[in-house]
Amino acid sequence: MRERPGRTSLTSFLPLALLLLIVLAGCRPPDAGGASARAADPDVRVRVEAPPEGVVGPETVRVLVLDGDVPASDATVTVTGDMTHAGMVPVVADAPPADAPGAYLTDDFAYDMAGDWVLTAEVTLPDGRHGFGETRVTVARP
Amino acid sequence: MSRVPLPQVAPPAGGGRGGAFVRQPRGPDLLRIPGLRRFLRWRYARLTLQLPLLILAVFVIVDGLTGRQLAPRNLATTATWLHYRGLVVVALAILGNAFCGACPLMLTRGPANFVKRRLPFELRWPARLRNKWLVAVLLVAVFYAYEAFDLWASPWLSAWLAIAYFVGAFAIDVLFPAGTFCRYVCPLGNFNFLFASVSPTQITATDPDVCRTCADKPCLHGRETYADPARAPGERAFVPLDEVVRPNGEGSFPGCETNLLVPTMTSNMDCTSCMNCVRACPYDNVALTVRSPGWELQQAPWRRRWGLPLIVLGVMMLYWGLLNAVAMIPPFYDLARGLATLTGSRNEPFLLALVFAAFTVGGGALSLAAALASDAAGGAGAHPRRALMRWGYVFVAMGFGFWAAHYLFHFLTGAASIVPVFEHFFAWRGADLDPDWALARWMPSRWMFPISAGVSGAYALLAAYLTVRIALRDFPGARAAAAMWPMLAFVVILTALQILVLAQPMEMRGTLLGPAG
Ligand code: SF4
Ligand code: SF4
Ligand SMILES: [Cu+2]
Repeated sequence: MRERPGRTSLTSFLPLALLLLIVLAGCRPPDAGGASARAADPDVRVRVEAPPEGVVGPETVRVLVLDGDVPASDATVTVTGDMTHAGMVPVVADAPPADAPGAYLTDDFAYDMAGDWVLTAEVTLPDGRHGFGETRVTVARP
Repeated sequence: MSRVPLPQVAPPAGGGRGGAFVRQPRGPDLLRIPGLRRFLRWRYARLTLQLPLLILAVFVIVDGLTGRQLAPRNLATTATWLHYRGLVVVALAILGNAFCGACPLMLTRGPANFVKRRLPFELRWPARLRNKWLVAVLLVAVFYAYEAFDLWASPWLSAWLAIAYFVGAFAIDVLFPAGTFCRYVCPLGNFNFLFASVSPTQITATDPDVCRTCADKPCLHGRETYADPARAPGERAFVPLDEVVRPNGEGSFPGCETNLLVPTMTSNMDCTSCMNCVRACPYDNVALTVRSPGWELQQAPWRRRWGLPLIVLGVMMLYWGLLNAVAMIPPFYDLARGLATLTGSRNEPFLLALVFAAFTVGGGALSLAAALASDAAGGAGAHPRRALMRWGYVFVAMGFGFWAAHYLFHFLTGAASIVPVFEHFFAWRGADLDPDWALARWMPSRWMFPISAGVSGAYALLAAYLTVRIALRDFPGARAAAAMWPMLAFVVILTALQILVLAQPMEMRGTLLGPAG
């Protein structure tokens, strides 16, 4: 024996259809990096360097920028530190050019909490092209 | 399906005829708020509440699967772990189980019925699973997965969790009778059911005598109302339009899917706030009554329904809540390192399972010991089951305090980040927006500890009050005073521990053991 379920119209299918669509659209592994989907130029190669084990407090983050195979020394670089937990405020610092060609160092960047961090460098070349780089750091209590 | 038998109706309080079926709270009826009853009696009221959450769920799934995989910038991690959980505990504390009422998972009900009608069979939920044990197992599985897979750090996995909920709700409601998912499976719902026991509202019958003469109990079984009786499909009891007080139109109005009968309710357990009963009652006899947060738990509400498994789950939630918070503070990592040395294993899932087992067994044993000590002090002898059924509710109140404190902590830390996270959703997809992340820091962090410790303390006071009431209820005279002390002492110690945990600095780390070395 079974209860006869109430009448349903086809419109009640809508949420499910919507969900299926999303699931199908989403069936690919997540894309790891980039601060925005706004096309990063494939020629602009960015490497973010920081000790993989940090300590709460100031840290110097080094960013290396290549345009093709040539070091790019006149880019604008910012470094953003995000914790891997929702609701945490990112730490943002500018990275002016440093000693070596294509190298940049953060001014006053500091970890403000222990835990896992993701450091993202956003690079803009004088001609407007963008590039992104990312690295992960585990930060310990001081 | 054969009708499920009516819940046991206790004899009227005063004996004899008339009067209430059971003791129900008698505070003001919130449905008297102008317009509210009218709105809730409207057949699309629930849909109206569900749609915003469905839209949010779509955002969560889209961003989780295709957005930037960085927890503070993704809706999948922010809206679920921060906002949903924070607002759930706030709603439970000041209103009731509002989220089940607006649950978008139940929008799969329509398609599920559609498929169901085309299936030649409907399964019966196995008798062995008609209790809260499976719920307990699923809840601890979710808590374990949360730590083991760092769900809080992964938008991708958080989105898949949301999808799993939708698929699970749909599949279970296709194969089994309606309401099976809510009552026997849904971890989110059962979290809400458990802690709605401290909510300040409850569904009650306005006038029990009206219920006494109400033949069909439509609040439970549903009703059909058509001007022309021949039009009624005959699935539910027919109630003619002119018999309906304040008629809410023609149609078929479903009853309570979780099988609650309004005049016999003494608990919010299993009530999804769907308000089907409000719509189905032909005599407009359902009230949403204000009650004190301590009202339910001092009635031993789960003695008649669900019994020991639910009490055990209620007690365990306290320790799993403690673990959920402890997992974010430094001593936890020291504990994990200690365990690694002790067992010689660096296998994180294994070590984490050990920690869960230790909290579950250790917490259960401590609670049982406190309950037994109180029973013994009151001269009630040593009956573990009876002691737990008596005092278990005290731990439920404490448990809510702690979950609420912890969820509120995170919610307050980053509530305003919902604005930049939404902006980022569109910026990531090409919109010209510049999210202002500084917004996330809207509340000074020095307020966090006083607020969360205050919440934890408030529910500790409620737990202490319950202890006193239960002692006075069950033990005569001076023995009541003796019985309450062991439990009171335990409440104080646990509260001190909770506040100590809340005072620690947070550390948001995915690995248990940290960098090798
Ligand atoms: S339908 Fe209304 S009157 Fe009848 S039992 Fe339920 S609440 Fe009481
Ligand atoms: S129909 Fe049942 S679950 Fe829905 S509000 Fe009424 S008592 Fe609660
Ligand atoms: Cu936390």
